[in-house]
Amino acid sequence: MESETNGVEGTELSVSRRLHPTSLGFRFFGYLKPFAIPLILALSFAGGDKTEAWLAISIGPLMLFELLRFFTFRYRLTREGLVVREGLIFRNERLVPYARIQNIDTRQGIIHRIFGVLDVRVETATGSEPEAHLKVISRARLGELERHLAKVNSAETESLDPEQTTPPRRAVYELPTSDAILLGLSPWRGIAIVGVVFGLFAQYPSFGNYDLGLLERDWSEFLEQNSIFVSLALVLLLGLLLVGLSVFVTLMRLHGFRVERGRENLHISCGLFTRHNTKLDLARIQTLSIRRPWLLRRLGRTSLRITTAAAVQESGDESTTRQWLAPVLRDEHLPAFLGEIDPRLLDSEPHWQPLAPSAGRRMSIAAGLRILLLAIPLGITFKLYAVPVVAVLFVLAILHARGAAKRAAFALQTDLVIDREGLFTHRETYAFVDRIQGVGIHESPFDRRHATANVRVDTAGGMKFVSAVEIPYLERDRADRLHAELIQRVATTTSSAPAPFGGEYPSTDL
Amino acid sequence: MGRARSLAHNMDSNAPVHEPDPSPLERPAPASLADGSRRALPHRAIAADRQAGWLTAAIISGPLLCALSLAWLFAGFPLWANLLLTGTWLALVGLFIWLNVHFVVLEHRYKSWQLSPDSIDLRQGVIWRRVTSIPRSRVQHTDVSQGPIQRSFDLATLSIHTAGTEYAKVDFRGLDHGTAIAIRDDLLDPEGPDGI
Repeated sequence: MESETNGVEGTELSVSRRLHPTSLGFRFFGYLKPFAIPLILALSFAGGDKTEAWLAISIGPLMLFELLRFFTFRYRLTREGLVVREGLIFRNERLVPYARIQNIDTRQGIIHRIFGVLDVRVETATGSEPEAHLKVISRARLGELERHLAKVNSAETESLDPEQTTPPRRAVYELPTSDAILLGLSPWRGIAIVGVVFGLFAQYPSFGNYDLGLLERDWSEFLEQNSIFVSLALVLLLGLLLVGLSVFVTLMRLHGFRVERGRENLHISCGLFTRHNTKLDLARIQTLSIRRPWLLRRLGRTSLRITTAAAVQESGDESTTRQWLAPVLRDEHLPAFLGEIDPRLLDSEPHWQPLAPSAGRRMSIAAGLRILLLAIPLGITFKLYAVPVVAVLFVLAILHARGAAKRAAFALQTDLVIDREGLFTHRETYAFVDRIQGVGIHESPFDRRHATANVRVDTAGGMKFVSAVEIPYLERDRADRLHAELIQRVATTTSSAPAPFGGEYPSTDL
Repeated sequence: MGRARSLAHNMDSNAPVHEPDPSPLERPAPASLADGSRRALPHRAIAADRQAGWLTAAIISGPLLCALSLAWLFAGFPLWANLLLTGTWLALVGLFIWLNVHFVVLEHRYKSWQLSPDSIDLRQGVIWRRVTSIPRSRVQHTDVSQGPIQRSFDLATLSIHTAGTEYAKVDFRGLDHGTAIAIRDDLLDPEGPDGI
């Protein structure tokens, strides 16, 4: 095989490449990362010879394994594709044809930057993991890989379409720092971080000898001992701290978020310390969701996310299946930006259609039951203090459910199914009809009692057990009609290539 | 014997029919399958489900019965505790009997398939009912598999794989083996799958 490829392509490309020598270090620290906190705790507090002995025992074999992997890992750019060879005893050689390479994701953290290396994932549309994971190679080697890919691809397209030259990438979106801070202030992100912090406290209730076990403390006793002002001030301080943390985390992840449009693809890069670079084909976008949290809405801004037909589905690595397209976008720039993604998104104003009238009552009942379920742990923890809290929460939840039911709607456009939900955070999810993989009607016993059903639209972008678009509480006959209409449209639009502007179907009333 | 007639025969008969595997030459023309009419499963699917159900019941309740008798004889629990354990065991056995006598019939009643020129629709579920429709152009590949009990009843499970996520794999149990193969062949689009 080697002699075969040596003769055809230039010699520089068929040379076997090893990973960068620092790979060893990165692999090694990758193993340590999940254990970092317990390790630090163990080393600083437990001490003793035993801990170090345990460390040596557990790390020794890993070290050996990584050394073996490093010295047996090779990749090569042949005429047919990228060839990755690894393994000492069971040697495995994988060929990734260039045409199947969808995406080259790179990630560069601070330490990566110091050494001038990148963590590179070569992704194809199939498979549950990246087809080739080059961790890590130098910037020069990445350049070599990209140049070679570009050369192969342009050779292909030129033979098909000689007058078409690759236009330069142009920036279509940039996230201002002020908007990134705004996003950090958005409440839901804050709450997610509260969860993380509480999780940490729950896991390590005592850092050293300091008792920080917030969850273990008896709150009623605490309230009796301290005046209400002290505790309020404490809560406020904690809140401010969390908001600050939220802003920091958001900035770290999304600073300098930038989208560039190539001919058929988008280049997305972001990150303050760790730079993420993603290239994705426009044809791989499955759904697009427009989110307007309350704060952003008041300031005339929206945020956009997409799901793609992802190579990584099971690991739950969010950056690959669902990702930001524009974290914060001014409303007035939205149409132009959507036009860059797919002109069909601007086709026409969505023709919103409501859910069944019983939806409001049923959503209220569900919300009320959830609050009552929450009341059990609250009652145990806070005793009588919980009663007014639960009562207020109950009323709020029911009001929220009623409002949400009133706002919930769906639309069936020429090329799109859209679902709208959320009261504080307005959410619209757009799924392209030609990317639909399956349509289902699900009926729970409650649905049957109200003669309603739940219509699910499945695409290749999304997570296991979660449909791209889900339209709940729809009358049974309308659900059947929507289902039949969707199946018929999918059957007639077999091509997944973006269709020309407009189409033969008007937006349909159901 | 025409395939269409044999299909009707399978659906109407109550007794388990052990038909020989039809030879590939006897497969029906796709047009007759894809007429968009809703079709039930053969009745012997109930018998197969029952057999599997009784087997499961025996595997679970048998050892529990042993444990129960040991509790009566040697454990020295108070009488009420022994009676409670026995009651629980009897309730479990009752549940199994209900599942195997009644529920399998319901399952059969609410299960049907429908092959149309556009898609295949699979209906199943008694308490949570669902219809799953996969457009023909989105079928990536299909599997027809048989377990040991299914083999003895000449039944099969049809699995349809798509590039989707929630419906990445849709299973449909209890089809006549020949019918499952006929559906599979019918879904094999000559133009090939459309991809993502």
